[in-house]
Amino acid sequence: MKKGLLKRVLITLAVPVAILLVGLLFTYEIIPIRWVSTMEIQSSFDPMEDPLPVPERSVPVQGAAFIPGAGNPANPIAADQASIENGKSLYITSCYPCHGGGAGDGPIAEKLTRKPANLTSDNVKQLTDGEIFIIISNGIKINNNQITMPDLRENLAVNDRWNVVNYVRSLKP
Amino acid sequence: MKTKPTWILMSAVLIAGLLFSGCSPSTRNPQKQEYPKYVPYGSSAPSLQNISAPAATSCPVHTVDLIGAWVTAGSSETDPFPFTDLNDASCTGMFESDILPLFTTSNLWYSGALSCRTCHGPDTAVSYVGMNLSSYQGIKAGTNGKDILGGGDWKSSDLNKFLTSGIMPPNQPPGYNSQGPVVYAGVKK
Repeated sequence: MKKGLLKRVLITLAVPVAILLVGLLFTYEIIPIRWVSTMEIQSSFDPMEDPLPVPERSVPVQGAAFIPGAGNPANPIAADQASIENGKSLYITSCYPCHGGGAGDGPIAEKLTRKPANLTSDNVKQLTDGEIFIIISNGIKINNNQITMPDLRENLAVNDRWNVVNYVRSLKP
Repeated sequence: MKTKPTWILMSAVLIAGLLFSGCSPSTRNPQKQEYPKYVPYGSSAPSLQNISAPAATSCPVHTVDLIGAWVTAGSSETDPFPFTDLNDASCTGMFESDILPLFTTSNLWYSGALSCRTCHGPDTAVSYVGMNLSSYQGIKAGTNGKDILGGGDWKSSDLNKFLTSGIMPPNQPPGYNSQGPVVYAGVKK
């Protein structure tokens, strides 16, 4: 009678312990289960581990667009077909309203007191790439902060500005 | 017979204890999946192509003083003109290499400044005040037939007045020196 009772008590205890142990095997990944999870794919990193590479399509922040006071910046982007086409699409968004197809006859040009520059004229052709880049970056402001041309550094990334420079260079009268 | 279940229990507790203490074959840090690599989109770093240390023989001088020395010496296109640099050394400059770039270089008078010829370009019909600062002939011609070089008297010239009174170059930043930035020009005598 006593033996039978002890046995039943032990079996009753052993069953939940066994279930617990089997559960622990999975909990501690002694038998790992690969759940579908994106938790491991994240930009966090462990202590003493190098930061992960920058994700694709991040915005690169590589310091200043030009070296302050060091003269005309040099164009780092070759004026190839890809750059010119990229520049053209950006030009249509940012420059076309005033400068039109290049002759300074965009849809809103006639409303402006100071007419937009003809980008195929001698006045623009004489400028170096760096000068055009600075104009796009900082705009043209005469004294008392009268804006003749708005700065586009918020609208166009550094590379995009150089692409626009390459496109403006390719314009023909 | 009596001790057998006790052994099973003790073993179970021991195994559980080992598992809890982390004393188990470690598969707790599964290998990290490869993260998509960063594809650089061109280079937007500023180019150092135009930057070089000034030659040891060139002279540091304020831009306005340099133009003044050229005007005082007769504002010639081809003849060298004398000037004194910041260290009181005697130097010689040339219009083409020392004066003209002051009007045709952006980001020079202050950081991000436009070049003079951006607004005062060769097409005087559309240039501001009809002035062309992109060439020797343009600078000599002045604005709408009016000499800007004061006929050789730099102190009374319009160019000096505009450059030193804060009007030109426009939108000068705080702390701008009215004599312009220091540039390295000419050669020591």
